[in-house]
Amino acid sequence: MSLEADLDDLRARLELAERTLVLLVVPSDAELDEVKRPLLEILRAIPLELADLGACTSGTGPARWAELTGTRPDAAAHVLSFVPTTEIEARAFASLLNAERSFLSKLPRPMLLLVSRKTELVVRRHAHDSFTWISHAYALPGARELRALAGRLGVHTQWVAPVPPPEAPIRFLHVSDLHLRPARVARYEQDRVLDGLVRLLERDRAEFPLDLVFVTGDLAWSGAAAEYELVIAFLRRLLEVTGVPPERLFVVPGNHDVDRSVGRWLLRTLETDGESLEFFVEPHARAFHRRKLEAYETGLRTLVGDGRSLGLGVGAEAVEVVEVRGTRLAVASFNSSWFSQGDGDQGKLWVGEPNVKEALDRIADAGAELAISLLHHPFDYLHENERRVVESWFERGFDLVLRGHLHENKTRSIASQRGGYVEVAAPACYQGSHWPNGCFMGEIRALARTVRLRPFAFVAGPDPWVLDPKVFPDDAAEGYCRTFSVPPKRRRKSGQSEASRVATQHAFENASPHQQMVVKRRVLDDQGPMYGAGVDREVVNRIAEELPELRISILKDSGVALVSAIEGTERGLDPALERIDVARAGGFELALRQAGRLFLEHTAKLGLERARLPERDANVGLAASLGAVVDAPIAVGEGLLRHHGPDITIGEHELARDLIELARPSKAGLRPKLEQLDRYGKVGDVRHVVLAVVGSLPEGATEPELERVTTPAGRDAWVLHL
Amino acid sequence: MGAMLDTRDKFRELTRVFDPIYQPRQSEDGPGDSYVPETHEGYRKQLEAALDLNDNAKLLVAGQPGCGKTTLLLSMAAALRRDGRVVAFVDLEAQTAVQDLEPVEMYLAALAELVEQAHEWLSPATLDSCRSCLAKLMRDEEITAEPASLVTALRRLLSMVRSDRPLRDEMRLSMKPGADDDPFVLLCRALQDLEARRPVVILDGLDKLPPEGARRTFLDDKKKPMAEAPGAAILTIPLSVVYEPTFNVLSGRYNNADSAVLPAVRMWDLDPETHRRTRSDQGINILRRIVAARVDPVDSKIVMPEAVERAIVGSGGNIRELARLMQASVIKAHVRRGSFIELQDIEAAIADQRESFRRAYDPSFRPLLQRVRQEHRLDDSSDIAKQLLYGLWVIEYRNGSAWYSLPEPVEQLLAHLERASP
Repeated sequence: MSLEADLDDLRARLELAERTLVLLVVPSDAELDEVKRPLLEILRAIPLELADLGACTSGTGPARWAELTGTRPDAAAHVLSFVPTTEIEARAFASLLNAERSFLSKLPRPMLLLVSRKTELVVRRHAHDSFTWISHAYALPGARELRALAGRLGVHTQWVAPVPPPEAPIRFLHVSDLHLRPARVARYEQDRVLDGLVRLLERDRAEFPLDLVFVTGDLAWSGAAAEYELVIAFLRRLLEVTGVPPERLFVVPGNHDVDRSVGRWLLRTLETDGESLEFFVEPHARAFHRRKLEAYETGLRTLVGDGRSLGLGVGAEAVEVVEVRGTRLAVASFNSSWFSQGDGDQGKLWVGEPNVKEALDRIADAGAELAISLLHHPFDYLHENERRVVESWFERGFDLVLRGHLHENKTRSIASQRGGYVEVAAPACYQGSHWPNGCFMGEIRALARTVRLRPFAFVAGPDPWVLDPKVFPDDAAEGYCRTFSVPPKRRRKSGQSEASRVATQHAFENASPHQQMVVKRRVLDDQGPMYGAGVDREVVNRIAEELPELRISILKDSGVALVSAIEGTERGLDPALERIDVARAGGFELALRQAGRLFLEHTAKLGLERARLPERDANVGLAASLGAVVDAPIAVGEGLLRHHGPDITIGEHELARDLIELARPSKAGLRPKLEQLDRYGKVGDVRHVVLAVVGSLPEGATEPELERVTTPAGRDAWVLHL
Repeated sequence: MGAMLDTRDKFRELTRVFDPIYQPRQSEDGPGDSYVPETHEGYRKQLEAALDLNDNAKLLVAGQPGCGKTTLLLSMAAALRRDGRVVAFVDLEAQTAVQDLEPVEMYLAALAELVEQAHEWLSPATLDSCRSCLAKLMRDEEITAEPASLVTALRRLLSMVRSDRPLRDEMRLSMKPGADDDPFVLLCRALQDLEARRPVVILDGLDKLPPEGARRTFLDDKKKPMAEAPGAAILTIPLSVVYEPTFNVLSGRYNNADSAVLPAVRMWDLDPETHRRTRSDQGINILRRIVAARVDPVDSKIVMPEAVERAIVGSGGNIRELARLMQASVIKAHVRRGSFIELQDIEAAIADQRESFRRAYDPSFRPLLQRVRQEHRLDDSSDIAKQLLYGLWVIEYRNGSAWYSLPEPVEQLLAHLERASP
């Protein structure tokens, strides 16, 4: 059917149907949102009162839909969309549809569910029953065609949003590099510059009432307590004349806020990502470096109070959310001076990638409309290990990046494939009166996504601070101010809704061991969220629970190579291939033989000497082989790290059915290991116990040997020689 | 009624009664006016005979999605009640936890139904144990042994644990099997109290019970709680890849009558000798009546007879599929501003269905589909065969043994594909 005919059909259906479930299928998940808008406009032009209920997560099934529709009871039809981030999520959604199908009859009006072709297939294949409850599935074209059609139908005019009232801007002041110190000559000069600034602000207050004040480091000269008395006095005056409350003053430390005498014997820099992880994740790891900033912290706390970031909090704690006239702004204060220590800081500094990432999660979770980051140094001061990736996280998450340090103004807008930001480097605010001093004032319009900058400079004379026409010389028409537009962001919340989290967890738990392993490995392997932060977090939690060492070790050893090789085989990869039912007569023996064969084949292929294979690698390798062969959940026991349970378990967790213990050929014989199996066998409903002796066959063997023995307690057991 | 409605209203009503999510259940007592009792007559008689002969019969009804399991059982429940038997119809979907059904919730849901329907025959002792069990679970001593308050409390408990996993786990952990207030013991006592009323528990939608739970509940040779509970029970489960493990577990034991599988309404008869199929007048008549039962209250003339015939062929004998095609053709008629549902509308609806199958088509389906068309057999148990069967690419019939046929949209798709690449 042509698109027009389809739309006629859909329209007729919505006119006639009281309640029904209709699937609208778009070509791809990526295009779904783009298709949705023209589609809704076309349908609304019918006219039809459509209520867009937004996007479902995999935990939003018909039971929840019935509640959601209650929020828009007046609508003639409701629209929901679903974009899974993984196949697992799509399956979780499909099984939820199946399970909650009886709630479909509680929908008050027709429901249009917008999904991609891929999701349609998953639902069709994995939720047959629910698929028959869908009255029709319409295949829609891509966004371009829909827009073209909307044009032909003459509904395009409706896309132009009504002109919103002009947005009241949020105004800020950005100063940096004050370098205050009590020396007498300096006192005189710095007072001249700073008093002038205070007078400017006072004068400007009526015309340009400030909401926020940002100071990006180097408040003091050498991080000494006496200097902070000056700093606090100045900031107090500044807040007083501008009327900005202390909770809207944001400060980060710079290299001059560091007490170098304290830092002298501390680690100069970090060398590896692993160290960075530890430094930025473990609070105690930062304890010594934090002492360098003791005067800074103590001083500023007297002004802003406890509980503020001041650049000393990391991760979520670096972020503070302020609401100004209904706009939610997130301000992340980063300390780029943890490793500052005199000259030659360049390339030695770290802000901590994990720190930035967590801060971005927090920003997304807080639903901030605009995110501002403060740090003292430019990115090229960062260690090469993290420079590029920190920058790319900034592009992904921040809208405005404020910094200082180089005493030169610099403004630019960065647009990248990840988003981008407006970077503002403020000049020094006091560097001796004969040096150029300056600052920026700015206006943020979060809805319009713009930042307008007004540059000011210090000149000698009775009105020492004036608008600086040299910063934006081409913008005379705008009064030498410049408006930058802020690239849009796609922030993804780290924690999904509880329901979705539960569904994700459920899907993850019910996934085959192979799929679980794939997910685990990809999550561990990658820097960014792969499966939606919900799954990632779940996986990381589980990994953390199961195997604290996995994170560091498993990715680098032969076990990984082995597991990927086995799971990369046709058997391992294709979840549709028939697996052996171990409960069937003879099934278990067959499974052991096939898994053993896989194991032997791949250790040989990879040139791994079985006799020398670390036990952990043998363990995961054998578990992966079993996973590729049997139709039951496989658990790799805690035995990997602590000997509390069997190495491998086949079957439901609490009803562990088959236990496998790994052993090495040993002179003492297998008796101790068999006794161990007897002990495990006492707990729960155990069907088979197996001792897998890795390395007992000569290298080159292709066929495992299977032997029946009796354990000391008289239980039948298998010994699998590999 | 017919004369008072204009065409648009009639179309509206038809769209409603033919919607797949439409449930014609008008009361707890039965499937509603539009039910055609002959739909699964033979199968139904077997079930009824089994229930009649054995008061402790445990029966299983499985079948392709949309073949009429729930409707059949609703009608049987009504008939059994008319015979004076106590029937607890437990809709497991609506009452219990999603995707995570444990027998405990099932017992509680059944208990709620029994208390609601037959409290006058329950002994005070049973009602009181029920009260103390609930008081303990809900930590609410205010609950009285009053049946109405018990039912409300039971329902409330079920809806609480439905949405709250920690609560659910806590409830499950707090159960001691065999204790006085174990819901299963309570259910057994209630069923014993009702013995004279020959109780039947119908558990609709067992698909949510994981295979392990099914094994423990119905098959375990040591405990087999539900298998030994007094009274009769009927379990239903849709056939699908997802539920197959549970179905396999259950059908191992509950292979009632000649089969646990409820087939589609038989549109064809197969001659086992010649392997030829012929139209089954009986089946087609039933399908005609199924359509008529929904159309006639609106306007018996509004659907052209040849359109009905075509829709029946198109459905392959699956009742929900038939309803879907009928609904789609009402919409087609409305689009072309017709006043009647004509052959062309059904043709267009079938073509739409064909395109929907085309989107989901996978080249690996083809050999099996061709084989079904030629030999009416689907005798391998590969995943593809299951996909085809459960996804309604292939419709299962029976006369004596199982055999298969393609619904019209799939036939059409296959013909298209063959023309494109013979």
